[in-house]
Amino acid sequence: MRKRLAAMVMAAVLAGSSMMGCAGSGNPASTAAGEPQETAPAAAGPDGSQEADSGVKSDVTYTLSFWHGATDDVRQQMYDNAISRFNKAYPNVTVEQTRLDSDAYKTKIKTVMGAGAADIPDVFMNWGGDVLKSYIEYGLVADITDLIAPYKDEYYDFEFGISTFDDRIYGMGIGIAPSVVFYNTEIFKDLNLDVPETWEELDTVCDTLKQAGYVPFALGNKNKWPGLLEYTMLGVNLGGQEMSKGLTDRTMSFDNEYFIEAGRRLADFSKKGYYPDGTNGIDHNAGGSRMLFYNEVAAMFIMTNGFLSNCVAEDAEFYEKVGTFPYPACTDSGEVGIVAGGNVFSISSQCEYPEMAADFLYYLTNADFSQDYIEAGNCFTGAKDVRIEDPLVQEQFDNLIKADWTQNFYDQQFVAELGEAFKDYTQALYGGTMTPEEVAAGLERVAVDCYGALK
Amino acid sequence: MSDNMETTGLSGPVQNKGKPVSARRVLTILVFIAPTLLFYGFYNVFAIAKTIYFSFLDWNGIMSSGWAGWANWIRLVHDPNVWHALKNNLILMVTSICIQLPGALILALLINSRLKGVRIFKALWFLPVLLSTSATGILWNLIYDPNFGLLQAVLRGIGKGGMVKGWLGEPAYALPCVLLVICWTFIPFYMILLKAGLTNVPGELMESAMLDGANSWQCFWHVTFPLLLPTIRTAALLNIVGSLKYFDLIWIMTGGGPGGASELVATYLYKQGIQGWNMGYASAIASFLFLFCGTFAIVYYGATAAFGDIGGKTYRRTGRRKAG
Repeated sequence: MRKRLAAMVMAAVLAGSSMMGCAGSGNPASTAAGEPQETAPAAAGPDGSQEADSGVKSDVTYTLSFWHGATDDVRQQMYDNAISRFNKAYPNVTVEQTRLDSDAYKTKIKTVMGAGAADIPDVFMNWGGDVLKSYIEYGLVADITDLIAPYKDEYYDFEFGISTFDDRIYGMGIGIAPSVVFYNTEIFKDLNLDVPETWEELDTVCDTLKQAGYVPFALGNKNKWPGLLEYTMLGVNLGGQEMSKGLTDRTMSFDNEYFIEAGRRLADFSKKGYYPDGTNGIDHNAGGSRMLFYNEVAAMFIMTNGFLSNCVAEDAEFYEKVGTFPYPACTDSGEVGIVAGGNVFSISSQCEYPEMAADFLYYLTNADFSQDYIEAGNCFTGAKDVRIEDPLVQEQFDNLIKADWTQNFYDQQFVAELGEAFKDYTQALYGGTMTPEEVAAGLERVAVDCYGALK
Repeated sequence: MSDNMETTGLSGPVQNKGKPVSARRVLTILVFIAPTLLFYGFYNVFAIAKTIYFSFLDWNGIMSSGWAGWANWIRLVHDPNVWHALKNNLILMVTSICIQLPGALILALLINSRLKGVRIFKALWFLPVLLSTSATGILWNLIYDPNFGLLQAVLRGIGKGGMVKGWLGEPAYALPCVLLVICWTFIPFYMILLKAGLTNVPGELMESAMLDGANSWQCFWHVTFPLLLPTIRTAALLNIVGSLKYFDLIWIMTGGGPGGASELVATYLYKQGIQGWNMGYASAIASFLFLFCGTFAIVYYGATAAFGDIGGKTYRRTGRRKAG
């Protein structure tokens, strides 16, 4: 008898110890093996909020779950500051943070979205664009247009640029990063080069740089999205907002003349050797392209605003030599579009206290937060009342304010499958293994798969 | 199976041989294996079955648009990317077997010999196994970097600057370059495996062969190698299955690029499922990979069954009996 008892105890210990591996990983199997759902969850009200009583009582403790991707201490500190400001207004609310690295985050957020609305965090980070739009179509995201109406005047329009669909707002942006051309002012001075204002001038500048032994553009295209930036810029400059809209609502096919022309110009630059050799193998994340720029092997660098914070941290001396200019206009339409993306914070449609969550969004993006962000990382939100001392950062801010419209990165603007195809084909375009026409036709095929035929 | 049961029991040693196993005993055994069985059942058997079920759905990972029938499988058959990726997997498999195993065997023989300084080499050669895969990938990315890397510096240093290429960025070189790193990582692993096999080769057998006048090549070819065959067979199986489902270094070093040049089935299915939101289709690719690997392994194991038994085990058994 005793033996049997011992055996049972042993077995229990064994079972317990093998379970240990799972502990701490949050809700395990239930979400991982989540069943595909046949129907959308209970649709949210017309304004996304539920008609429940919104009165937050002062004698009850509330919890707000908040997922974000700030894995570094600097940004974590910014969020902590924002939360403590929020807690001054809402002392009885506990904000429960979950922080994950960007790739892990993308996988995890998608898994909970798939598992059903109940597990979705109240406030979560995303990248706007079509991915957000898919979540909205499944009724998982709250419409915050009315909730944030009282605060709206405190922001510039670009705050909502990549999270607005059909004039309804579904999120607020932070770290909106405009993309521009960074250049080495000393090399430009040495060679008596002026900042190019048209695409033809850019071509000449590149040619001069090449003759002088420089690589015109630093580019690490192993990661694919860095190369997509220039493609997007060419698309914006050639096709304008008309093409961007047309591609999104399927009234315009990818093999339209503007888009093919954008591909041609990119392939032309690539053929002329304006990018580093083996650019498709250079790892941007590991700093391969930035090293080319810092070491003055390359003279220009097309990147998002995030480069400024990298540069300060990695080579503060070099920072003094950096200048910027917007990607030169390809047409004389006068319309200014800007390529910018960033993080967006949205509220779950199942959040019990949407008003409170919307206030939290305000604290996460307001001028105080933006000020912290500017000082710590040269990035900003769209909040108006901020002081910017660094002229380079001011320039980026002005670019966003000046722009007539905002173009999200192509890989975020479209559904994931098309976004991935975009990245793969762009790599092929730089590598010269596909022609611009083939790329356009290929993208159109994927678009038909994803969205259906042209309207 | 009955062999195992007898040794797992709590109450007694092997005395009750031949007696029927009591129900209580079975229960005890079940209780003991239950935790593992549960985990294995849930994470392997159930997950595989579920993946096959998912492969018949039109599912983006969030909401299912319903039953897709054979659509995902038909798409798979017509998808040139899958076949291109599978071809790369087979290239990986062939090069792995042809380079890793012989290389590992040579190293194993070297560290098994009594040469001076062999212990240092044992430690040095084993180092790649100790590095995490991501560290290995990033390290080699830096070595291959066409502008700042070690390799280009060496080539330029010896006046062969013309040979410098954007190795990982050019379709013709990307896959071979990663294959080299995969060999570099796995040769030491198989070296240890084969070294363990070598220690099973009994010294007296070698001694008697020497006495019979065999030279060292004959000793290797007629004594060591046949006794090592079962270990080689297992190593090759690990190699085959590992190559067919390989993912990590390719993903870290090239991401399957450029333009799909180094795509493997596993990287392609990850792109489809996680990045491209095509969970249904990705499940079909995963199921296909599972079936392909399974069939391949079974056929291989059956075809090489003859090599499994002529090795050390048979010898040891008879040897021990004689000794006893």
